[in-house]
Amino acid sequence: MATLHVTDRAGKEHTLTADTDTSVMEALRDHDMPIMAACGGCCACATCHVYVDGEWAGKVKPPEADEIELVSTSEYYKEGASRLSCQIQFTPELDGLRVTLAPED
Amino acid sequence: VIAADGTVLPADMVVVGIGILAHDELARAAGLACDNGVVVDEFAQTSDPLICAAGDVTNHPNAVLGTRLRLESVGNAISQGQTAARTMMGKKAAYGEVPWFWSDQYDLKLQIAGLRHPGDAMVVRGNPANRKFSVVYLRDGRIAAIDTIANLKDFMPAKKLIAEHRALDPEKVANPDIPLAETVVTG
Repeated sequence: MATLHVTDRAGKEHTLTADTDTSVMEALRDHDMPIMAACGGCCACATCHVYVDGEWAGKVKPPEADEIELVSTSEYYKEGASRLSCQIQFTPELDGLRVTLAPED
Repeated sequence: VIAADGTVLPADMVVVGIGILAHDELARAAGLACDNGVVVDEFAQTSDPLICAAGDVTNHPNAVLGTRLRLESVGNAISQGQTAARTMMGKKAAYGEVPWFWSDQYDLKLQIAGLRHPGDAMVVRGNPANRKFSVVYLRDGRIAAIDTIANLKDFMPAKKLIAEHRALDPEKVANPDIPLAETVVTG
């Protein structure tokens, strides 16, 4: 288990304790955070878009080409911060990770 | 394959597409209107406004498509579910999600938005030999649907353009170097 800090779209902060053998998307979804994650985690829909907070951006495994191609077409894309949370494995090294839910497209 | 009339069709592979029948028995037993699924309005309300229905089982109007349909897709089930939830919370909003679908075919990501009609004009965007391209369907010059094959960058812009019924310049659409959003006919 590890800690995940989440800022929702209203600016409210949540501290979640989540398994580290899931994706960040699954951790968010399992804690009733309002992400649609419609495709279930196969990088097909961009409805689990989050911003990874600056201090963590360098510690998270970089995105694959498919993920960049999809998320970069979001109206709310922020270079260097935008990620699809289904593509981030929540590993023990990410204990304390901070993400903000991006607005919905 | 031997057909009922005795016709023999030689085939290496047979793909069977038999469709789906909506399981609307419960709704019928409750006296709700059913016609190719549970009939709902744009707010996901059945013929009894205190009962909502959502997802594959509903025969529903879609404001973007301008028609009634029954749709078998995850995106529809989720979005129409939200419409039903809003109705129950007293925050009614008409349903109008652009239909969308996805599939992973081996190493290729297939994404589809909109519903194509047989008469739509097809514009291929990119070279299929590169295993990365899109096919845009124009109806009376306006984008009605898209298939993207390992071409994720076209998917979300297309979904938005379909919702807005945008007219696109077919010559520009055929040029994959021009972002889809910049192929809109202006003026």
